Amino acid sequence: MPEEEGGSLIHVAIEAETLFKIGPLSFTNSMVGALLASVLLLLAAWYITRRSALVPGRLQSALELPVELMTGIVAGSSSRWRGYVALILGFFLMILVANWIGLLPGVGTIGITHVDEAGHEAMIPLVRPASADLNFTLGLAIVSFVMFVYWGIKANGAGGYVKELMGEPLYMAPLMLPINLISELSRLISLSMRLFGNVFAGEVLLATMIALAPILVPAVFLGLEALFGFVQALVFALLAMTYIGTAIAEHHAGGDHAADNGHATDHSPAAEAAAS
Amino acid sequence: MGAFFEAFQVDVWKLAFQVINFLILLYLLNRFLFKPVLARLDERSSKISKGLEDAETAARDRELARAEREAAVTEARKEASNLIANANKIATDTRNEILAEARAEAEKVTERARQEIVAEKDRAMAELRAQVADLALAAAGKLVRSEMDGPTQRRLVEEFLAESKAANGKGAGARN
Amino acid sequence: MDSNLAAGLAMGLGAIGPGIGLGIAVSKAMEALGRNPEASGAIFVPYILGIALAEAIGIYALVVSLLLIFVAA
Repeated sequence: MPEEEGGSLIHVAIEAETLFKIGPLSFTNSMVGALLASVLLLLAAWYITRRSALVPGRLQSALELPVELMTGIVAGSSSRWRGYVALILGFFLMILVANWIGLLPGVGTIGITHVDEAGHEAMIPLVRPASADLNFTLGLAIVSFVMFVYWGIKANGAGGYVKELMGEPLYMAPLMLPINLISELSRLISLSMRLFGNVFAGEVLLATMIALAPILVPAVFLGLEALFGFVQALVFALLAMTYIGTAIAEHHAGGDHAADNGHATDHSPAAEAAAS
Repeated sequence: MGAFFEAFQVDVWKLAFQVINFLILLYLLNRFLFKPVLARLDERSSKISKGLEDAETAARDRELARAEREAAVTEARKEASNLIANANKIATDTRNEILAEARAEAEKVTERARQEIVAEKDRAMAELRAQVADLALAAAGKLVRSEMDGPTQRRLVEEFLAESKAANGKGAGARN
Repeated sequence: MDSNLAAGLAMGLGAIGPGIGLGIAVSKAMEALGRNPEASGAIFVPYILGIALAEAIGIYALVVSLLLIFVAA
């Protein structure tokens, strides 16, 4: 890969580059991005809760705004929203900050020079927005996948969950089970790939624009990327919320399944009993 | 699938690093940000709803007071007009009564005056008649003293007088 | 070179469907919003989810083209 784009002005590696290795863990620049995002979030949290004024100042309310926005949306999704509001808020804030880190000046440009075995010299950026690394997005998707499967099993029981996977007429199970399994797994893939693809494509777009017209034009795309970063964080959090909400929903309510996994609503007695 | 993950440099260690990083962050954020902020939001929304409720109560009270005041004013106005009507009626009645009384009194006074006049006239007539009888007696006595003795003459005169009184009384009654 | 061409085609052709779908979704959402501006809160979440699902197809195309460039090369 570096061979292909070595001569080009546009350099965005598809994978996060390794800065150094600790045992089996290659410490990549996207990990720096993730840690940076975490630290920024914790600083913001410390700033918000430092003084607990009921009537907040301007900066405090600006920082609280995303939390309030998401809380409002999550609270409207289900009556049992307090169980998962922290997870959804965590997804949203982490992804939002991770996305926006890519827009900071110096993030893609400050780096260390690295000479690989073949003698090519390449600059490795010190910080890479964490969500432009599939490890990060897949990790978050796995967390949300585990959580909504866990909540589904908790709400309907393990038998109810398996029954739901097998579909409504039992003789269709051999056909429906793989389909439902794939649809469950495809949530994992689509959650992670959507976020990764958007942010990565945004990075490539920004790099291309900066290479083509270094002044003024990238500013427009920076604004656009800020919007996309927000929308993607919102999308990830809302999809996770919908999946979890569907998993813990009372199943006879029905009609609320996420549109991309249209499997049949379960009316099995076990699900009914567990739901009521 | 292997090549897929290979292309994106996904490996278990990096994945584990990101997941653990996120979970730690989630724990800390939940502890230090979400719980206080959610508590504050709850507090604020309860305060706002209480304020709204208070405002609503106040508005309802105000409305009630306004209605009450209006009712009182209407009542008072009605009462006042009643009073005026009553007073007018009483005044008219009183005036009529007084007028009637006065008229009756006047009539009574007139009647009494007329009766008095009649009585006076009768008395005067009687007096006059007595005097006339005496005068006539005296005159007749003087005139016929010589040829008639007392008792016979007196009886004759009284007979005459009684006759004339009967005729006179008839005449007086007809005149009245 | 062939795989680069394939990547370009995958991305370009794969963007057609999501583009149309997003256009329909956004136009309908705006129509609904214009008809009933008070419903913006109720429309917002399904709208975001809908465009995310439509956009996912475009992202699949992007992934395929990335794979073509970086893996099949």
